[in-house]
Amino acid sequence: MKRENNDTVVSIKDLVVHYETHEGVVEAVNGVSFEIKKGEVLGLVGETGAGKTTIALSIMGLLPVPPAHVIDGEIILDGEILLGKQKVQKGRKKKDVVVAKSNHEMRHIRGKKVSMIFQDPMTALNPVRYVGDQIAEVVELHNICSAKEATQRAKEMMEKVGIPAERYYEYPHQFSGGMRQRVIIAIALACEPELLLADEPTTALDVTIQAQVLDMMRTLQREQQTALLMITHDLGIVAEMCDRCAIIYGGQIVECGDLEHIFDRPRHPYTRGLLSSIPSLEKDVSRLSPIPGLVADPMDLPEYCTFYDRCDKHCESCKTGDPDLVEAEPGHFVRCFRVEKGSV
Amino acid sequence: MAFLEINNLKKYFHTPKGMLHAVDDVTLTMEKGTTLGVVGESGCGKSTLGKTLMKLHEATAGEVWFDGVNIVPMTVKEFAPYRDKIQMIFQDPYGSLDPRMSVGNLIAEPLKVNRKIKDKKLLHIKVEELMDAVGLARRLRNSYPHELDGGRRQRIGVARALSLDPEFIVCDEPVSALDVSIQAQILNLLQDLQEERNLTYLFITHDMSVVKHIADEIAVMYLGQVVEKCASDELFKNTLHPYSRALLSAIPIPNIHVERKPILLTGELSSPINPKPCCRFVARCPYATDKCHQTEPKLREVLPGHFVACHLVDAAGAKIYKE
Repeated sequence: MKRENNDTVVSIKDLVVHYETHEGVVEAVNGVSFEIKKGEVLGLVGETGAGKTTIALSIMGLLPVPPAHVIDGEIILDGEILLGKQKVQKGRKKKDVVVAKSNHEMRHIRGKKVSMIFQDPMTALNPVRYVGDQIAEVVELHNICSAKEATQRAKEMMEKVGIPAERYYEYPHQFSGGMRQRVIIAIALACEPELLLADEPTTALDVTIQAQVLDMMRTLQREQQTALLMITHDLGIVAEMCDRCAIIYGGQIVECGDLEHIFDRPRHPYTRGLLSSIPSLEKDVSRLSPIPGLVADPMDLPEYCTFYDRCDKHCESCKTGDPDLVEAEPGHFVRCFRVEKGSV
Repeated sequence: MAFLEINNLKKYFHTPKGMLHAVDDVTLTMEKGTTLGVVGESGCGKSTLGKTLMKLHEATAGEVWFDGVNIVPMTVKEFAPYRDKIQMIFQDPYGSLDPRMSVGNLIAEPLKVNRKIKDKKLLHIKVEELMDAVGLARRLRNSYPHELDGGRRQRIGVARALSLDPEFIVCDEPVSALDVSIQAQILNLLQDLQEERNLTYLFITHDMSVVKHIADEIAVMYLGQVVEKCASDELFKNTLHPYSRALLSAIPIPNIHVERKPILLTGELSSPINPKPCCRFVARCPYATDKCHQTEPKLREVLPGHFVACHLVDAAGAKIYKE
């Protein structure tokens, strides 16, 4: 489903984030750019260590510095620069330095303009406070209103996410996993943020509960017209929830486009491999076709195409350098030399 | 008699709140060389079932006939010769391997513990054979688990299970901690090994697409009980129990042309502690009738090879409830 408006909520340009550890530099994110419009859902799909969570944490300004280090990039949320290059006097010369908003400034943005839902609902809540108060806290912090109004708003939010308001004065341990994740979603959406980052929101939940939570998330997202970044490893969830999808491998977007592009006409060998390695519920396949080899190690990425070692279609020219993200058809971007040359 | 027969197996746990019915009256049969998938949500007792079969838990009641012998009443000593034949692959390849043992030692450990091979040279050869069988490069012999990724660690787990030449392997969520591209590699490995060695698998998982791929028969569990059991294809074609229907409809399908209408269950899992003598699914079932509140449905064969425990499915396998 596409919406005909062009107001971009968040835009990320050439984001490069490295972690500097004792063992070496982890190149977690290497030049990621994307935009999300109002009311749009972008799916970010990748395997462990692909850099999905690092991207979300960069937007939230929650990267652990050190070891994390933003090398390059720009993040603009709703017209406000969260992260960008500035000329800073260094000795005699002026140098471009990536400057992020201070923690103090980010406190006014987090929860109000951008919220994040974490994977594990067990650890994201404070075990010794009422769940209701934990929802009211966000409202109180950001909207200058009385405690009473905040409580009222918290109760409204609880009803919206499907928890009876009577449970306001209960503790997290009295809630099941699915209910806790609902509380987290209520906290995240209480101030109607422009952008919601959902980092594997249903991975810890059972399928029947997952279906309930996804359904509720989508209803609220449409109602509030929130832009949503859905981080997941489950292509099924993408097919169901998202408008567009970006496949990430080795800290780079390797393919990005509408759902029809990704599911019907995937061009990058990695996307194709991912789709064919999932056991299908519809077709009977006696053997799966997995992607050979191991997931790219972000500590040791090659100079050339990061997927080269696992690619079944590679050729000598693939080793000549890193391919660019090219537009294969309108709105469908692929990072592959073969697509660049027009041979696929 | 079938290769493995489980008759009315029960495993209860004492808790401060009362008796927890983790596995309640489970009856299953398996033929040699087949895979039985056990699916269900967290807390439904599927892992407890696996561990009870391994005699890691002492069964409260019931029988497990393994190759013609009932293993439930056996003492540890009597069970020892059967230990080799029943092995297990664990879910978490990070937590189930001793971080201070090298890959070679990890694979050799079961052989040493069971005093199968005492000669060092023969042991060395056997470990290399096992590493080849599961697709681990021999050079990794002296590596430690932390140096390896999840897929390779799970291969060590498979090699350990295979080391004693078992006949029956309980696979407890062996691929759920792995990435999809690696998951497919391990699933293929398990299938190849089954073909080569005529292994019998009890495959515990919560992922329906994985179980459909690997299992010949599927048992759906809910709160300690098997609610539906039939051949894999049959379950997907002719789903009878309302819970199985909800479970299947809730899976997100990676295909944008399939219109999916999930049956959204209201409510959450009820407690397995001192369950009432009624259908366990009654609190979440959209079609529940008075009868469902009063009596517990028994697992019965409604179509050839198709077992279901529901009052709303009649003796001829027709659904009485309306969707």
